[in-house]
Amino acid sequence: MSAATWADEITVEELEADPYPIYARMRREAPVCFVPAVGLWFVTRWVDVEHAASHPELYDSRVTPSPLDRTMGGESILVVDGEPQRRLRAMLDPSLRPRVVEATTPEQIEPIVRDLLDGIADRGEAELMSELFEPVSVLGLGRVLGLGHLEGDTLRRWFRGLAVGATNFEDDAAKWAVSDATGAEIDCELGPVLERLAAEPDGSTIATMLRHAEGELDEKIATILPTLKVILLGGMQEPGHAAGSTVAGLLESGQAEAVAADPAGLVKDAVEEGLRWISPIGTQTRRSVRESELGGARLPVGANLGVLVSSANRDETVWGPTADAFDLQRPKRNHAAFGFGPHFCSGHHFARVQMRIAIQRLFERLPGLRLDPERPPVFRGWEFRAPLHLHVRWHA
Amino acid sequence: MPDERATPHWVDVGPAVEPDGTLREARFGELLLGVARAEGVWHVFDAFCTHAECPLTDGWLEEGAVRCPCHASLFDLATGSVLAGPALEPLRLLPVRVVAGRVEARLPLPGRATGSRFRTNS
Repeated sequence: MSAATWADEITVEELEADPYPIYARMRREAPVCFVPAVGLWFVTRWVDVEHAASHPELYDSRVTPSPLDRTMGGESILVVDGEPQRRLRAMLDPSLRPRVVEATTPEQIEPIVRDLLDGIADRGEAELMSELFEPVSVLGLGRVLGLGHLEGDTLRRWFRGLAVGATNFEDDAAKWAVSDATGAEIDCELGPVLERLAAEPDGSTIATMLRHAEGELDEKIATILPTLKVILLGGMQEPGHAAGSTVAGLLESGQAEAVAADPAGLVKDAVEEGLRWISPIGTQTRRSVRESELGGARLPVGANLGVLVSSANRDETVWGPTADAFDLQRPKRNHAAFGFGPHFCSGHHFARVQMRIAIQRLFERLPGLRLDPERPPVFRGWEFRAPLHLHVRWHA
Repeated sequence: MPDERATPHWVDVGPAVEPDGTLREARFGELLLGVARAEGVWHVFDAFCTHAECPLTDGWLEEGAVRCPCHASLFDLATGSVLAGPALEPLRLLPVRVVAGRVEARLPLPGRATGSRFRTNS
């Protein structure tokens, strides 16, 4: 069967269930390949992913139509390039600088992790996604952003609603209904918060963004809100998801005991391998500015690309024949989970520090951590991928 | 007692016993230092990458160089020079000595240790 024929038959459900065999076949047979089900040219090999994501003059971020614009309620940092993107980065980056994160994040995250582990330590079993990793992720970012007054469950509902819209490449009306309602609720909730933080600035990310934005308050709010929703989605969902994938990888592959014996020494390696193995955000979307050839395919002007960092992170020519395995001992090299080029994830270090603290304390606190044999983890998603649940047991 | 922060001074950054390939961190207030041994020599440097501030202590050694985990910049540990970009400015190396089996580094004057300006990844 030709590449065009089998790619035509790929369904969203197949991608959601497990995209990696599909990506592997594309890397071998058709490394840049149009997938009608999602309306994107998939870019699957490391070399092409790095090239496309690093050259905005050839492949910009202005994907049209983009599920991001409707979901975020306007132009966010993800869909602009050049000077407009630099302006938004300049608002966002100061509070997320690694130097700032090193100085402030541990004291914000440690008590959240401690309280959550206190709540489950005596039980001997838990579902780690909902009882540890997602709450750490949303509560941690909520405090940094300046949304410490909101409940964890509200924030989790928000990122789930936004995620439904952001991945709606197939233009499903039911999915739009979910993300539209979420967007409206966030606008309603955050408007007064933004007004307060403009009047009484603190050191939070939102206050920093407001200080750096231009124009009157309503213009500032209109500029900031779409990008703030990107942060709510990416920042709240992904560190928790990646922590879950990392721990699932450790437990499934029999490498958890090594980490349990030396949590402080091995947690960094575990997190980096987890980010590579199941990258929580699968793509950077791009649009071809001009006609070009990429990975053997001829791309027309205006072609929408799904630049698959998740596939690059499994590329056998980079990672060797064991690319699909979670391997704590893997020789170190840079992975693609935070993207490439001007859109490299602004929150990379915040995410890393948060994940390390959650996973280190988990192994220190819960001896004999293992999977619940009756309820093994099930992964789902292609654009956003993580365990749906992670049931574990330990010696309480 | 003179304020020791007012003048450059030597600080202990750990034992000088690990083998080549060792990369560890040492903290002094907000200073984050990388402490590395390559080809039999100890090196101490300001750990925040000169490109986008990623801690190089999250990276790794490649022979006589340290690799940034974020954007893959590579710095020569002996000279500080950039062997591979995107970083443009050299690694900030500190003077190092080994005294009685301990590695010591001389801290710069307060305020000058971490004087790089932050650049976004553009």
